[in-house]
Amino acid sequence: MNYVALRMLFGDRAKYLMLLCGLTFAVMLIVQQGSIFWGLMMWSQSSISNINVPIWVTDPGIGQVDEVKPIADTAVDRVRSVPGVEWAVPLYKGVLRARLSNGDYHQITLTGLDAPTLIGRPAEVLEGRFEDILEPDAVVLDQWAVERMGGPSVIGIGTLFELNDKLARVVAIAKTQKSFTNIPVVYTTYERAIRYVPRERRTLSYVLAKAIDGLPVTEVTTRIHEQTGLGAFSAEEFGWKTISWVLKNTGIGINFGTTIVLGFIVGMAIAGQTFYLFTVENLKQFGALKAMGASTFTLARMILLQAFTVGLTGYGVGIGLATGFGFLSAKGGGLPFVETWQLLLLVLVALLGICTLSALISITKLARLEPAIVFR
Amino acid sequence: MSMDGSVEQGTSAQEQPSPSVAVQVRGLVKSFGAGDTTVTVLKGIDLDVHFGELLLLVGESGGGKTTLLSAIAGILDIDAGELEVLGASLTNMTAGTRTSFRGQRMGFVFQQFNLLPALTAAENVAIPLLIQGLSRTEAVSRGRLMLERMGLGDRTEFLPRNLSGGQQQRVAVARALVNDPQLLVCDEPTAALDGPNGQKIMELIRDVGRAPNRCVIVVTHDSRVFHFGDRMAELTDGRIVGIHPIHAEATA
Ligand SMILES: Nc1ncnc2c1ncn2[C@@H]1O[C@H](COP(=O)(O)OP(=O)(O)OP(=O)(O)O)[C@@H](O)[C@H]1O
Ligand SMILES: [Mg+2]
Repeated sequence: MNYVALRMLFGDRAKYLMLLCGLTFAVMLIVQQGSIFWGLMMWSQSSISNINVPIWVTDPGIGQVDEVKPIADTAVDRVRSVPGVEWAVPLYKGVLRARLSNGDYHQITLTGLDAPTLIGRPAEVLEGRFEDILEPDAVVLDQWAVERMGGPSVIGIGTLFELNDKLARVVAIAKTQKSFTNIPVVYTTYERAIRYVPRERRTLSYVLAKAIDGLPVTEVTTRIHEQTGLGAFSAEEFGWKTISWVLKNTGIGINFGTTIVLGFIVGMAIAGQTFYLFTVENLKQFGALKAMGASTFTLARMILLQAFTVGLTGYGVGIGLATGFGFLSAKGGGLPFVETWQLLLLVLVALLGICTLSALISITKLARLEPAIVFR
Repeated sequence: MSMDGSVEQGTSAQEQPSPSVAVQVRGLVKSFGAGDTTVTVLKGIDLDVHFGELLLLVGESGGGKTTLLSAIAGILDIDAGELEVLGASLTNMTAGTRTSFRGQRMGFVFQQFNLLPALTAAENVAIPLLIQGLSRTEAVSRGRLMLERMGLGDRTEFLPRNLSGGQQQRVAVARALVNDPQLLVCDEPTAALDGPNGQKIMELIRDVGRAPNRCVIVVTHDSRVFHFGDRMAELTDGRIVGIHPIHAEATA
C-alpha cells in the first residue's frame, strides 16, 4: 500500500506542488530568518572573533565587549604572574573621531595592539603589510572602514587623516568580520593609541592572554579571576556574554525573536494545515480503502509516509533556497547570514514533528471515519 | 450456531437456516441522530439472502436501502437485531476484525465508482489484493486479467479520468470481484450511467458476479435493470414490505 500512498500523493500534481510550496516556504522562511539572526549575533561579537585570542581579562562588571570599562594598567603584570598563563598583553579599545582631509568626520573604533607581539591583529591583510604599523604615525584600517569613510577613492594606503588632531597614516587594509554597529576599525599600537586619546586615569581596556598548552582554559580563567579580582573569560564565554547582553539590552532579541517565532509558527501552521487539507480532500478515497478492508493501521502508515515524503522534500528544497539566498546576500560578508547545523537540525525536527502532528490529526479523523460515506 | 455437519446427520433441519443462506438479518433496527431529532431509518428488518442468487433491493428514495446495505456490509454499526453474514455474526465482531473480514470476503461497487484517480485501471483493480498483502506485480497482473474478463483488456493502463463512466464502473466491478468475494454488494451501480451502459454493468454483475458460492445484493431503483435479479426485496419506510421472485420475461 506504500505504492498506493505515494501515487495518491504525486498523482494530483497541482495539489502536490501546492503542498510542497507551503512546506518549502515555511522551511525557507525559518532558515533564512534564523540564519540572519544568528549572523547578527555573530556580528555583535565581531570584536572578539576578530581579535582571536583564547582569554579575555576585563573589568569584573563588564557587560559586553564593545562597552569598554577600563582597568588599572598594572593588570597586565598581575595576569602574567598567575600560574598557567603563557602570555598576557594589553589591548586598547575606544571610540574616537577621525577627521579626513576633505573635512569629513567619522566615528571610529581605535584598537591598540601590543607592539612587540601584535597579538590580536587580523589574520588576513588585503593591501599593504600589517608590520608597517610599527612605523611612526602608521595605522591599519579594516575593509569596512574604507567603505564607510568614502571608499577607495577617498581613503587608501598612504592617506593621511587626523585622530584627535594627531596625524595618522594608512599603511595597510586588513580583512575583518563586519560588526554589528559597523563602526570603522583603526588599528595602531597600544602605546600610540593611548597617545591619541585624551589622558584618563585608566587607559587599559583589556588584557589578552593564553593558557599554557595542556591546561584547560576555564581553569586558568578561574585562577586569574581569583588572584586578580578581574573578570576573566574564554573567548567563547565572552562571546556568549556579549550575545546575551545584546539580546537583553537591545530590541534585536525581542524584534528578531518575535519575527522568528512568528515565522516559525506561521510556517509550521501553513505546513500542517496544507497537509491536513490534503488528507481531508482525500477522505473519500481513504473511506473507499477502509470499506475494502484497509485497516486503520494501514491507512495511518500511508498517511505518515505521505507526510514524511512531502515533509522531507519540502525541507530539502527549502534549505536549498535559503542557502542560495544566504550565499548571494552574504557574499563578501556584507549581510549577516550564518547557517548553523543546529538550526537545520532544529527545523528538521520541528518539521517532522509538525508533519507527524498533522498526520496524527488526519489519522484520528480517519479512524473515526464511517466507511459508509463511500455510499453517499 | 449449530450449523455444522453434525446437525444434518441427526435431525431434519427444517428449523435451521438453510446452509445456502449467506446473509441472515433479524430484527435489524438503525436510527440516526439523538434526542428529539432521532430518525429511525430501519425499523426491524428480517431478510435472508442465499448463495448463488442476485437479490435486488428496491424502494422509495430515503427508504433506507443504502443504510441496510451498509449494515450488511459491516461498514455501519446497528442499534439492535442480529446480522449473520457468511456464517459469522457481524454484531459480535470488533471493528478491526470486521475490516479484515470485509477485505477478505466482500466486494463493493459504489454509485460514484470511487476509483483512486491517481492509479491506473489495473492498479485500481489490484487494491483489494494489495490490502491483502500481495506483491504489486502479482496484484496488478491479476488486476489486468480481471479487466480482460470485463472486456477492458485494452484499457488496463488508463487513468480513470481517461475512461468513460461505463468503463470506470466496469473497472469498479472488476475491483469488487478480484479477490473472489463471497458477498458482493452494489449500491445503485447503474445510477450514474446511461441506459445501455447500465445494462452492460448489470450484465457483468449477473454473468461474472453471480456464482454458486457467492451472494450478490444490488440496490437499485432503475426499473430497466429489474430483470437481472433473481429476487426482489422492497423496502419502504424502514420495513421490508415484500419479497418475490423475478421472472426473466416479466420486464418491460
Ligand atoms: N449518517 C446519517 N446521518 C443521519 N441520517 C442519515 C444518515 N444516513 C442516512 N440517513 C437518513 O436515513 C434515511 C435513509 O437513507 P438511505 O440513504 O438509506 O436511503 P436510500 O433508500 O438509500 O435512498 P436513495 O434511494 O435516495 O439512495 C434518509 O432519511 C437519510 O436522511
Ligand atoms: Mg441510497
